[in-house]
Amino acid sequence: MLRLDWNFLFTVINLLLLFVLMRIFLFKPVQKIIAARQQEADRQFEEAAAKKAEADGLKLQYEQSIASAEEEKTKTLQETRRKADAEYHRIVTDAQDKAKQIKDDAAVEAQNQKLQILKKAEKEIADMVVSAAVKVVGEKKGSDVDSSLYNEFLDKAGDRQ
Amino acid sequence: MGNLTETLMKELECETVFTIPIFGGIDVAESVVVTWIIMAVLVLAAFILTRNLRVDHISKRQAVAETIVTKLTGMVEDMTGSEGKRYAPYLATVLVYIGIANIIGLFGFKSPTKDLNVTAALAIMSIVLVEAAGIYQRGVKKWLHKFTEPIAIVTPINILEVFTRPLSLCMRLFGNVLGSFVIMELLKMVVPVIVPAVFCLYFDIFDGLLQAYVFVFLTSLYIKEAVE
Repeated sequence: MLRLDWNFLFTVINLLLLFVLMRIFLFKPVQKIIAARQQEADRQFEEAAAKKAEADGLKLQYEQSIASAEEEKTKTLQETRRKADAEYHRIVTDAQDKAKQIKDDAAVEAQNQKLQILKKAEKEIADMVVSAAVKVVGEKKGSDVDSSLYNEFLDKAGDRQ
Repeated sequence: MGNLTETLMKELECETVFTIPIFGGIDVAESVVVTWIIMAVLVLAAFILTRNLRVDHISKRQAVAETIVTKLTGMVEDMTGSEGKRYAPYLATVLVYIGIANIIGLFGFKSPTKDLNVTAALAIMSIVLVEAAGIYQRGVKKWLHKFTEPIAIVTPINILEVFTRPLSLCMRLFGNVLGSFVIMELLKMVVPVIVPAVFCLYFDIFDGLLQAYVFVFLTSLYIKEAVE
């Protein structure tokens, strides 16, 4: 019970040995693996942060490109509408011009025909007058001829009125 | 009554298991042999627990090993403070050793802590560790200067403390284990049934573990004081 001897030294050696063995077989490996896990976790967090930053950047980029596409679309639409309007106006103006042209042509044609008919009629009248004159001249002489010619002309002209 | 005393003394006597036949024969006590058994069990357990350690998808075995290590070192680190962290593995080892040594009586062995050699060795190692930690942390000059703090007149008392601390550590552990053992033996003789079982819970298990904790707690406290 109460004795101090060599066993004191043995106990010291035992304890030091136990400490070294526990360090080798328990503390060192477990602490190593925990440190490794910590490192792994840190790495993953870093990676996640980097990926998030990257994703944020891409998102911004996409938003920008979507916005610019929208703008582009609006611009194109306006451009197209403007062009279509211009085309519409051009076509309508064209059509109106053509219609006017046709109408004018028709009027000129009609005038021409009218003139032709009139000319023809004048010619016929002249012929008629000449033939009537020939007939009258053939039947009478002197002043009779003149007066009868005159009357006949008047008659005929009066008929035409 | 004479019979009782005789039995008690026999139980308390730390028997010599064998003698190394050099220097006129060195007696190897029972406590040393039981310590070897405890060491073998601890190292074997540690060896089995730490096979195939992995970073992820850990086995239950590894989870147990990690829990034991983190809880033990965490407990000791709380007591030593951040500066004394490096001494945690030693203190944790001592904690486990004393804890098992105190309750190994339940398995039919004689507690090594019932031998003064063991508690003295533990206490001396503790004080050596404490002073070494102080020298390591502060350097010899500042370590020596610490003896004159807070005022020069307490220097003798501070020097005395170097000796009284291990002595109190040693005797506290020894006395507690011895005392509880004697009480249990007496109780078993007076009331052989049921009652000893209840007291066994306190004296053999609770007090044994408590003394292990107290020993390590005080050593941690001294280390903390020395390194801060």
